[in-house]
Amino acid sequence: MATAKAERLLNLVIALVNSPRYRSAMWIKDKVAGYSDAPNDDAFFRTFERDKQELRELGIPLQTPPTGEDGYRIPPVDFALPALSFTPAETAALALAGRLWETTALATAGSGALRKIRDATGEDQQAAPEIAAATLLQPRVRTGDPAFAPLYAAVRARRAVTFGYRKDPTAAAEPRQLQPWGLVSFRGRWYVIGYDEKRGERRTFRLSRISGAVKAVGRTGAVRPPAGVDLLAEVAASVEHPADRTATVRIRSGRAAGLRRTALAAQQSVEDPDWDQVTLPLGHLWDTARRIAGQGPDVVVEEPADLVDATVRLLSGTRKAMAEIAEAPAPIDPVDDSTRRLSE
Amino acid sequence: MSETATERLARMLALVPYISRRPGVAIGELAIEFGVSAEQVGADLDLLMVCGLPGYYPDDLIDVVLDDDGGTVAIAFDAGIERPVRLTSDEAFALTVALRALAELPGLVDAEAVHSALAKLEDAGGRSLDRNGADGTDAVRVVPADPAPALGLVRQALDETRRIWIRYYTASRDAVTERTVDPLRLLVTDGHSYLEAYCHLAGAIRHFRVDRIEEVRLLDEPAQATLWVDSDIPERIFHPDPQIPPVTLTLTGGARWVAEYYPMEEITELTEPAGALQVRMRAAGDEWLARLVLSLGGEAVIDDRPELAALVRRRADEALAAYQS
Repeated sequence: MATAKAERLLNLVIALVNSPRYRSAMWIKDKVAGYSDAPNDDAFFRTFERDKQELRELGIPLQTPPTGEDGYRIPPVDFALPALSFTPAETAALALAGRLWETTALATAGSGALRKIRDATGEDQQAAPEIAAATLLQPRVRTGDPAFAPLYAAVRARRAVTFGYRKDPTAAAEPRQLQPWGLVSFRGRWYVIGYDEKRGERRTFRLSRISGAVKAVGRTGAVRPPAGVDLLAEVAASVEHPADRTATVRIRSGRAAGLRRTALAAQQSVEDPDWDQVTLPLGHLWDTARRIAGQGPDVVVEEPADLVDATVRLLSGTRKAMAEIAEAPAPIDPVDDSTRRLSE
Repeated sequence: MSETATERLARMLALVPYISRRPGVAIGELAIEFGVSAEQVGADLDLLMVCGLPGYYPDDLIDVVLDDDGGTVAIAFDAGIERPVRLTSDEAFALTVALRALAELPGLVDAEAVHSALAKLEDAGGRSLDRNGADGTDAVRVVPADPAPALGLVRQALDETRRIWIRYYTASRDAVTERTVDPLRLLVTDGHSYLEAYCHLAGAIRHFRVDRIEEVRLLDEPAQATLWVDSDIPERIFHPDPQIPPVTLTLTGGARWVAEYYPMEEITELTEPAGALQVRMRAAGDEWLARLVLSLGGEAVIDDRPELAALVRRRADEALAAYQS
């Protein structure tokens, strides 16, 4: 069945591409292999309508006469890519772009586009797309979040979606209904931006915090992003919480180099020389709390109170999750272990 | 895997120009290029051979010349479909978004070449670039890598084949070190740019996240040429210590990102608890793992390293004790 249909579609394309003038529907029914089997005209027109639609989706539109008469053709100029010519630098950029997407529909579409472009360039440029700067390896953008594929499809189709979302990592997932305007990859993470129907405002969601299935709802084309919206700026604003506050923490001497890199000020503690008093910029509460909780007893938050609470919640969560694990024999002393590694 | 007739048609329409430009191409190469089996390529070629111009006399049909001995193929008559079909809106979308993403990376690629390539494509694509009229390609935006102040000098060192000295923050050890390295290549993946270089401190090839290079100095010595580099992206940007045994973690809810963010040996979707993942990973070290698990607030559980789990719990206990006074 699928073979017969592919054969019929291909024969239709060949017939209309090679046709110097418009061909009537009846000509197609009589002359193009695969259509004459239709038991009656109604059946033929149903099939033909579907076929036209599918060809349109492949980027092959059937042209009808401007006079509105019955007739179809595929002008070669609409069908095929024109002869293309690219400079070596453009070719290198195209080759990198076509392989940017690591997985999903985007990867297939990207490599398909690249192949067409390569086959549309002159003979002398056959080998050119393989030339990329030797010192720059193929950039990659991962699209492996389970929510990516359904959201990408919804954005392309301009359909609303529903999904479960955790506002912060310790919260339970809440149902959301979103008119998605677009997707943004920023700092290696994907975000979807749109109009949150229940909350009645513009929101940004991190794909990794979406739990369960993303379902498309409503009709295709229903979502209309506002004109001039800059998705990247939206995400940057929601992700890069401007560090409008500061936090004061104690860090054990010589520990937590990562946190110290961001420090605004640091000085040895007056009360205890084994500790430093460090002032950190405080942007996103939970991200900061995570970095602090990761350091275990080597970093203690002094203020503000909400950062103390968040850190304590994370640490308590870890303790609870690990509570069932039986106390094992004493491990290798971690402090010695780390000293050995640092001194190599 | 069931394929729609349209998908198959798209492939057959792409096969003709591909073969026409490479007469004598091997069936195996076609299978790899189009991501299908050699049998499927054979079936596609069989189907092409029965299609052609209305009338369908032998001379009207696409003439696919198969060399059964050599497993190669050529096309003697293409029935007027020898040119690649215009980009579909999906293809134009994927390529346009990717080109714009590359243009966002200052210093990595020639931004002018990206823009001029984009302009040529728009000229060539016309309508198929954007069916909706509005500029729908803005709906997906990608910043492939963070800006990194060191990138300019690193790029210069690569272009001039110069050795460099760097002060580098190693996240896996949570420590800053000074190293002399011979730059080899730049990699862009997972939202960051990395310098692949021969590190004289480690005595091996290492990857350095460019935004973690705190200071860089170009040295007078030339960078030492390497005998061999892998042409693919290394599977692992991280170099786990082979002495450290792999660890199994269960990741729930908000910790699932870990499975994608770090290289995993194995990922299993669990039904209980629902939405959880069990992963097996070779971490950069126990210290790193302990920090990771502590930071995840109970959403990551160590399954098979009881002594490490106990260490994490003890650290959480000790850390919490500081807040109880």
